[in-house]
Amino acid sequence: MSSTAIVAIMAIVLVAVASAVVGAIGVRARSTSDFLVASRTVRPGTNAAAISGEYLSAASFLGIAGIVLQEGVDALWYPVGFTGGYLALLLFVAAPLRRSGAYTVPDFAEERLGSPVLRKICTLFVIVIGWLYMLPQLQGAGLTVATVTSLPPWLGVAAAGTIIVVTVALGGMRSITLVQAFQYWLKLTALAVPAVIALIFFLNDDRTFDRAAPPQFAARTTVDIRTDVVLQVGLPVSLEAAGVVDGRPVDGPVRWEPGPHTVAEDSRLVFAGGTAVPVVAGSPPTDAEWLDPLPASRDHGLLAIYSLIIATFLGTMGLPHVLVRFYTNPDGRAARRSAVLVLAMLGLFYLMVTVLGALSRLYTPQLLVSGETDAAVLLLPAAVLGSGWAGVLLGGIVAAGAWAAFLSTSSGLLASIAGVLSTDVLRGRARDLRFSALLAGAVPLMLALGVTRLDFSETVALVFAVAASTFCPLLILGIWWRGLTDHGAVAGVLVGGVLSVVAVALSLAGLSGTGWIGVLLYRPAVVSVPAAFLTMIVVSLLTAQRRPADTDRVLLRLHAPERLGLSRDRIEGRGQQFG
Amino acid sequence: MSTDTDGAPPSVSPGPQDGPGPPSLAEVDTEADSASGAAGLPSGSSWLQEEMRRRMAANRSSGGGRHARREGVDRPGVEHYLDRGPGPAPSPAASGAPTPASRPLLTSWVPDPYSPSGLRPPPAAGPVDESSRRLRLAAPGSRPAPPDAARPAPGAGAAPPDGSLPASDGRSPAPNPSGLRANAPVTPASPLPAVAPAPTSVEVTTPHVNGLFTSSVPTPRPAPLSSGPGFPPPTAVPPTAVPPTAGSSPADEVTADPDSGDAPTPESDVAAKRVRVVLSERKGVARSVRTVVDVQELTPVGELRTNLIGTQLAVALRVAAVAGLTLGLLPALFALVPAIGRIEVLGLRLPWLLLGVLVYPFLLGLGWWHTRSAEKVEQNFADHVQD
Repeated sequence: MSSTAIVAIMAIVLVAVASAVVGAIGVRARSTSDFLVASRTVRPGTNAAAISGEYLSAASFLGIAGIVLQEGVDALWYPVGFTGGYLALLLFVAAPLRRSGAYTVPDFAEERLGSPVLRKICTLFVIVIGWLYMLPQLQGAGLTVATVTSLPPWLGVAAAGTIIVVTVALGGMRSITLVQAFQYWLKLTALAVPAVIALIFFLNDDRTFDRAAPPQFAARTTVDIRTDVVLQVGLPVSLEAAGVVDGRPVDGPVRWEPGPHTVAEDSRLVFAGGTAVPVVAGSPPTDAEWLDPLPASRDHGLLAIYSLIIATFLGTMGLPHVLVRFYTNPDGRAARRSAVLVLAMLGLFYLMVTVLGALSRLYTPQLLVSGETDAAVLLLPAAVLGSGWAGVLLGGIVAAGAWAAFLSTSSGLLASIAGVLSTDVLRGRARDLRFSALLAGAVPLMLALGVTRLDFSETVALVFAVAASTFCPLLILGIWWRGLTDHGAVAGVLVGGVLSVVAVALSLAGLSGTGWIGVLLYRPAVVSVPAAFLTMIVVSLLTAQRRPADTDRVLLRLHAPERLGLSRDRIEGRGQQFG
Repeated sequence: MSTDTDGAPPSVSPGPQDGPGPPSLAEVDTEADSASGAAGLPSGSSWLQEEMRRRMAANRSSGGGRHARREGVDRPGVEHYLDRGPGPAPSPAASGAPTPASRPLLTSWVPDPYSPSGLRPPPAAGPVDESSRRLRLAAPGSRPAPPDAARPAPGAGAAPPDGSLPASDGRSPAPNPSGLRANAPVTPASPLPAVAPAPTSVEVTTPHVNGLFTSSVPTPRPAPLSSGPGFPPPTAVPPTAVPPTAGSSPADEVTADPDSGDAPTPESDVAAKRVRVVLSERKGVARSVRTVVDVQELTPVGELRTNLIGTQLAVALRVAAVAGLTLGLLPALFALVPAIGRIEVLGLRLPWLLLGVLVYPFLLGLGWWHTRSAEKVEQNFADHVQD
């Protein structure tokens, strides 16, 4: 095991132990009223950092750089959408939701519409969204372990899953605002340092992206293929291969003519320095195309981008672990202000990610061959600085940051799911909390081990699509339209949810086809979100007599400033344990 | 002049007088003067000075001055509360139901102050839930002042002032003649029959309100009023308040009331001094509270609600439209005019510059813009409601 691996493992263990310890200490600080108490002492800046810390997941930390490396400028819509989602949250949801006193969507639904059925459905989707969102987090842990050490990925997945389940069962770390805030700064540092260093190296180099040729290997490079890939070769390539290539077992020199070539898993390819890099099919093969928006090599790119924009802009407000965080704000005004600060913090973070993603095209092009572009951030430090102590140290920092990203988001998610499970699903059982934490963690763990890994950004985009198709219409119409009825809400959530979940399931199962149907299955939001809104509105109008009698009072409370004294905080209630 | 003659401590008096702008207040003041004059002049200036000294000391110790000031700030909300105060009828209803002990006090209290106005004779069985809820909602804003103000409140009409004024005046002067501070308020010269009950009512109500208030907001502000329960200094307040906090249900609050109700007797002295302070705040608070309740009940003022939501929605949609149009058109623009993608600015391709860098300040700016606009709307709404 190399020194890089040892340092990285030490950093990872440090982060894991630290969060477990903090989680154990936090046992006492997890009730709703603790949130309230904390909210009076936490400053908006700290709060915003905590929100950002919980929000920036493995997908943001690893996935975005990877997708930028692979897809180019079009991939920038991911971070833009993840940030823009907070703008939508700020515009339509933050302050009213804070004033509602509800801290999960099911709470909000019940308070606004008073429908137990709707509450159950919302609970179901909180769980679905949470599990789907944990999937890339766990896989990210596996990838991190596999990349920085040579251990098998499943070991990382299992270890990470165990750690978060134990952490949450011991008390959950999500109510600990300071820890989450610290995690944000840790993640930002872990990205900013390598980004700045790589940028300095790049500016002192005379390398450029603007070439009508594929990227090149800087030196002799060995690539291990862990999953079957189809490579697209633009210029003839000579290489040494060991494994199954183009359907035949090979062990020795190979020459690839332009065209597609398949490589089976567990193959090893060795490229000489200066060789043109073959690229996974579907990505822009040359640097020039990579620089351009909507390259010709991508079908229905515009449709995909618009669908992505809808999903990410509207999906953020439906993520269970995001909404809870806003409860830490003392009032609606503070909720708005911290949302603005979050916009700044996310922007700073994603700026670093973008730099890393773009530069990794120069320094770690081998990832384009294996398709494991998500590892770009992890490998970049060593690729830029070499394997000296600086590279090793930086690699350790980045690995620790990745684990922090993964741990904070998944424990927040797991706590949300477990809280919902214990209050709404498993009500009344002894040791509910531990059991539901276990259950909440076990399912995504199985999924992570069993499902083919998609790019993190892709998986996350699917989750955002589900959230945007279910909770976004419910929240927006529930907050701004007095005509919403329980039947309308149920119908809308079901329509949007079923459409998007079916599409996600097909995509995750690898059944999505090609053409525009394939794009829609991959990016269902452009259809499912309007369908959900429309259903909700139409059914509500048809059942107008079911409007809750207290609609006006509730709406006024959501929108009136606190100083009029109309809102109230929940001192106790459901989900108290997890606050 | 009236206030000064009364010997009201300077810190306290400013509050009432400042607020008094309205005619009703003026009336009150004059009445008070006459009353005090009647009682105080005969006895001579010596009692006056003594009274002043006593009050100032009391204020200093109890921090009444400070409270008065604070309330001045919050005043709008409080006054409202008061108005409904008759509405406080709600409180009596809620509290009376469970505990027998508390009931008599409340009952007697309610009729006295308001009977003149004929608002609410007995606690009666009004919608308990609603009333309690209303109270609670209003309470945070209104804070301590409410109880006192509540009695006089019956709107801007002269009726309330009369009832309340005599009571207040009677209290302050009373101590001198009778020499007994505890009973002072009752005996005093107040011409109105209502006077006697008034003190009791004050105390009762006060604790009640405090409990409610505290339950939602942990701040110890109510201190001055809390005198009723066993409140030597502000410290005593939190304990009483705590129980209600734990249980948010109305029942808890109710139970809390009786305690406070019992308390009044022992320390009525303190209460008397405090009452004064409260009086000063009365007017502003009462009015605003009423409006809040009106808004909530969708009375004519309730149109504001629609306006508020409509305006906020317009603000949000405006920002969303800017964001949506700007960002939403970019992909189409890139697709239709590929040449844009080749433009280099600052060494970066334009799409990279736009999507990788400039978009974040843009989104931040939009967020900031929206926050400012939305806060302004809320400000206007609150001001409007409280006018």
